[in-house]
Amino acid sequence: MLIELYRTLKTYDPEAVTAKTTLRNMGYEVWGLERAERFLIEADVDATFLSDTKDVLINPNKHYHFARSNGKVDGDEKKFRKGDVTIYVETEGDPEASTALNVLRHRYQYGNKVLSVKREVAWMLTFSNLGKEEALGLAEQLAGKPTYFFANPNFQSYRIEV
Amino acid sequence: MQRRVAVIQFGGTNREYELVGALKSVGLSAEMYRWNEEKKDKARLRQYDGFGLAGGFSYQDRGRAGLIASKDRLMDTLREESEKGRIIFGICNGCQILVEARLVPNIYGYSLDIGMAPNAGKIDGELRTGFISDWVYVVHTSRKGRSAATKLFEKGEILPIPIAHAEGRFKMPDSVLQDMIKNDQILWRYCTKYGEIVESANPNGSTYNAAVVCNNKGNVIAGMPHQEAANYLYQMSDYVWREKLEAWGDAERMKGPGAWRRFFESLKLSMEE
Repeated sequence: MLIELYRTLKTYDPEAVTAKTTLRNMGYEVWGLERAERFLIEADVDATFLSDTKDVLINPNKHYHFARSNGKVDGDEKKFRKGDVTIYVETEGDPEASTALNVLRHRYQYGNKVLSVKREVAWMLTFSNLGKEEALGLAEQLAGKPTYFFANPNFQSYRIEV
Repeated sequence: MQRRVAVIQFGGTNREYELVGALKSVGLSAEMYRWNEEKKDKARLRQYDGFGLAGGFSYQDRGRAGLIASKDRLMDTLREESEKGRIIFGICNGCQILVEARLVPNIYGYSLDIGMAPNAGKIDGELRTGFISDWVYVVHTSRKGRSAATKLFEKGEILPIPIAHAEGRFKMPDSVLQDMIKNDQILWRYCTKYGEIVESANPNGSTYNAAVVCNNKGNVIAGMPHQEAANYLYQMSDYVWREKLEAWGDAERMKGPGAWRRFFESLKLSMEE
């Protein structure tokens, strides 16, 4: 079973605010920038797994979440469909993903039934008055060459979705 | 004439006072320089003979460690000063900032050739991730005087040094590594107390056990270990530095030099040249 889980802060995300301010200081016309995290959990488990374990990744007091597995949906997807483009960044050896994997395997005693946990940071960008192609081009510049703002190619990879 | 060093203070820097103290201990004039002072008086920053970027968590490591500080306009000034031969050194978060600002390794111009990835050391075959705060050993592997910080270090010298970081794994493509080796740009490497450069002595999984590196010219030095935290004898740990055990009860002797005083003396010598 593949579980896709998104989470974002209910409050302002300081990381997104700082990133937006920095990009503006660098001269980029970024109108809005929000941040979420996407977890992909691959596990050989039954349908109760998500409800039993989602508190590993979600604190309802501070997170909005949205999860999808086996056609079932939990949470509010609208919170995660913002911006013109989304840059997903994955970090090699991400300690948050490996910690979540360890907790699920050992503290929650799922053992090797949990095959993998992957995490991506989703940066949701809104530009002022840019068409789709221009927005994609600018997102490419910000994630990759020449700025490498969102991803250092030596240990991070990225993909862009409209 | 007494040489002046600006210790750059970004929001979230937290080792700047120790660094100022270490620089003063060798007779340099060290002053704190806040990141936003440059907007008021750009000329003032250019009057310093050297620049130090201290450890800490600038901007709370938002995005990734060192990223936000590296985009500050002050870093453009430091880049210009480094081209004139001024000395710039970064310790821990300072190293992460210099890497993200592309001042090291600077082999092919200002391209982003290194990343400071999350720790992933392998100790006895077991993966060690997360924050590490410990004493480790490093061996000086470059030739004496290869960089501004190594004038007083013989090749092969082994010294203990503290580290404290979560994202300190030097990560670079093999072609960059080979060129850095060829250029003698890897100054110190993690090793055992006997100087063996092995995987189990590499606390964060750094490529080639790299701990401290420099740019092509040798005037920009970036490393994760904390030299400023091993500058006085009282800062040393007695289980890695026997002299401290012998000095117990002697307050004056404790104020003497620790293992890394020569690092700052080397910087001073280089600034005076």
